[in-house]
Amino acid sequence: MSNPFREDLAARSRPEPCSVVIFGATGDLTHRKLVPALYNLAIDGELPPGTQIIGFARREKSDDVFRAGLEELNKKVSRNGHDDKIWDTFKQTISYHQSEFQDTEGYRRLAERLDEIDEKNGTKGNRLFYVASAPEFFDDILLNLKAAGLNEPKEGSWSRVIVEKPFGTDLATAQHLNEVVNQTFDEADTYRIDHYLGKETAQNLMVLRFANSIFEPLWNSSHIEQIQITCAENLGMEGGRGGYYDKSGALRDMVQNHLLQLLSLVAMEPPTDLSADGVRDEKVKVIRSLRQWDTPELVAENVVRSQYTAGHVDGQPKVGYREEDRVNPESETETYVALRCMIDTWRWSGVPFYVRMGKQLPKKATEISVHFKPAPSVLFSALPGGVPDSNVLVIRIQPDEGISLRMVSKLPGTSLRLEPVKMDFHYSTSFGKSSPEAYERLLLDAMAGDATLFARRDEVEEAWRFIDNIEHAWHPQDSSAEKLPMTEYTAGSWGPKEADEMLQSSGHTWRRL
Amino acid sequence: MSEEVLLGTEVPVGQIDRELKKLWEADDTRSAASLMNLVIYSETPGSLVQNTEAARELTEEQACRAILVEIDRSITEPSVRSFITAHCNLFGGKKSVCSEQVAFKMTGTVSGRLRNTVFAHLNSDLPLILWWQGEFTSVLTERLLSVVDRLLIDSSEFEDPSSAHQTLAELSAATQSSFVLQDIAWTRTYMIRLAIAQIFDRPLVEAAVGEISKVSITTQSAHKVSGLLLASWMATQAGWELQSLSDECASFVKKGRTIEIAFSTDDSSAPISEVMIEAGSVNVILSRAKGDRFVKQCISAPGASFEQLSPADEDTPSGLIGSQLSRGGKNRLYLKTLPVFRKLLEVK
Repeated sequence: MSNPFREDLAARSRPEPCSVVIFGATGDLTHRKLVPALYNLAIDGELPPGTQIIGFARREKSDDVFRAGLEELNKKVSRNGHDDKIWDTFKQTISYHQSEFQDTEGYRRLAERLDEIDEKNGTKGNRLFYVASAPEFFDDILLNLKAAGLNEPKEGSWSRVIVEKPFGTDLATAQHLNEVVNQTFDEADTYRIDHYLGKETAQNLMVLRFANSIFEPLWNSSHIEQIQITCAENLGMEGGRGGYYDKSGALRDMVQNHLLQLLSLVAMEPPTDLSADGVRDEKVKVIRSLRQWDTPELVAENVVRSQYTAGHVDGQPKVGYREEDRVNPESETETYVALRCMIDTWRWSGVPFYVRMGKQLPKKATEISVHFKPAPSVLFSALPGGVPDSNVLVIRIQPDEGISLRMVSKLPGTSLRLEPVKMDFHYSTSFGKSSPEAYERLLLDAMAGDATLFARRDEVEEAWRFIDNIEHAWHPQDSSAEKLPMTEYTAGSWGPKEADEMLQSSGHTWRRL
Repeated sequence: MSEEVLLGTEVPVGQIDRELKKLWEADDTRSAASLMNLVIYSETPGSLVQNTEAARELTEEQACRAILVEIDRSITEPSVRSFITAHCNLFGGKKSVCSEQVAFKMTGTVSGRLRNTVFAHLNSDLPLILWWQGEFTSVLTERLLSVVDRLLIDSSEFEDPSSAHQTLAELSAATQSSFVLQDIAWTRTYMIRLAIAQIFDRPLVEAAVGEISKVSITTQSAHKVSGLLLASWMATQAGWELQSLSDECASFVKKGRTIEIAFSTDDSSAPISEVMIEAGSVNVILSRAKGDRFVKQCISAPGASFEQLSPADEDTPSGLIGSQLSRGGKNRLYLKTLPVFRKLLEVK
């Protein structure tokens, strides 16, 4: 019989007890994000009882040494702080499994170990495999899981896989990875994680749009002039990140996944329901409707790439990108990208979506700003000073999550002068309680079988199709073809002048953050 | 600290809004925030001081305009004094976010004046949460309830909970309003209910739900009502029908199987200190010592035994209210549990 005490208790689908196997368990992601997320779920009483965590990695380690390393980091980064008493109970659920990713025998031993865990804990054999290793091992891990039969759920249980980004480096590699994933796990059991979707404000986007009646009637080309999506980072290649980044670049590292996901949430039609596929069907339609920049001329007109040169951020001197540690001194990798995206649908016809992402910008901020068309100016245009800029709705993703609305108001006084004012909603001010980390929410969703906040295969591939056209124009196969210019911006500035000019050509400017 | 100092600046009732505005004009490093109007009503002398502390605790996580009311109805002469202050909390180490508090100290017959005076100072458009402390009196009318979005009570405070709930049901029916009823005695059981649900999520234990034969619940004597609510919830969810009641025991039946629930008290321990469940070959013990932040779960099943810690409920009323407000919701499970609870109140 089902558990009657569970009914009506929580307003979310129920995560089920399982064994969580983390591949790449000695890595930063496991120590800084995944295990602290599981620990915080345990503190909040959200982690299903009987859940076991098995770290799978190449280095030789005992359970105790593995746990000690996790504890050290957890003390530093845990959202709810670190409680020794809870950790002592929690750590009993953690164990370490040493194996090379290519070693078939290691997976066979893993299967035996998981069976023993199920036997000991009376769990049903639910398995959640988290592939958090370097991407070059994705194939090995997935194929070996299949060879060991770990992809096949036992009767009455499930077997799921979470795949960390990057989902490929272009369309071909993404398709290959998806083929391997889908040969191993059903698409319904595949969870491609994009932690941006686990952020509170990203989740709130659908609520803002579809639970309020005032926005949706205006959410179209009749009322919206342009939309901007900005992801600014005030860091460069600290911590040896240059080695990875130089092979990736801003477009592939951030735009292909995080920013196109945000764009699809902003632009999607109302889903028929809140089921995973109901939502993702609508999101993928947006990505599919992106006008393709598939010639060098279109890319030159609609995309700007740039690299930072030496400058100052937060008063500190910064070297240029090509002087960064582990970066090729002749690198052609962009640290800044700005795009004009057009969505060819009835709703968005003619509305540009400007997307920009940059490293070493003046501050860290991710936001979406919706710029409404100006009111007819027949009444106030003759005033000295005229009418200020039109209404802007800003959805701040990080930091300082919140929503603000700019509108025009009369300045107090006997004369009629207009100024913009801002209504501001801050999550942290209104809700003192801190939001769960994105990984907490996403791990629980995967345990509950809810894939709404995970990317589906077609979303990923459609996004790569769009990105690939731009990459091909930047890096033509034909060496005699004219290369599109790599522009430059000073570290600590808001990007290259070419990005400003791209907007100016349409009569727009970047929002000042 | 004296009452006057704690309550802040005394201001004429007619000047409250003006004085609140001045409070913010004096310091532009702080911002005022509010998600709701929280009215805390008490007829206990000295409650304003205690409730100022409660408001301070609550506003750490729930930005609101707190309106505290203390009425001494034994003094027939009508009077009203008002005080304003703010509770400020630092967020992210830099931003000071403040909740306003207006406190009213009143005497005399007040049912009309309460509405007119106090509710004139609500933040418009924000939900109204009324935390009613103590026994219901004639001040709680259907007109008052008709403007309330959420009514907070504590069934543990009622001398005769059965009669109080009857009064509430009548008022609610007369009002025909859709306020959400939140009982602090019920909120006190939340984490225990979550722990029980989690225990029976375990595949080894899940099948034993249909074999539960004995439950014993130990609470502090002041929180016996929470024990009754917990038992009512288990019975409602599992579909047990009440057969008989004695002073310290309730007997239920389902499909010919009898389930006994025993109640006992232990004032030296936590508000809900122990729940034991016997279900065939499965035994479950949930226990919590006084002051512990966690509930210890011990489960023994054939071939396996488990121990686990899970979070415990807050102990203070303001902590419990804060938790419930964070969870939100319409409290439908409580309403579903009420019919059995009303029958069990005969045990008290």
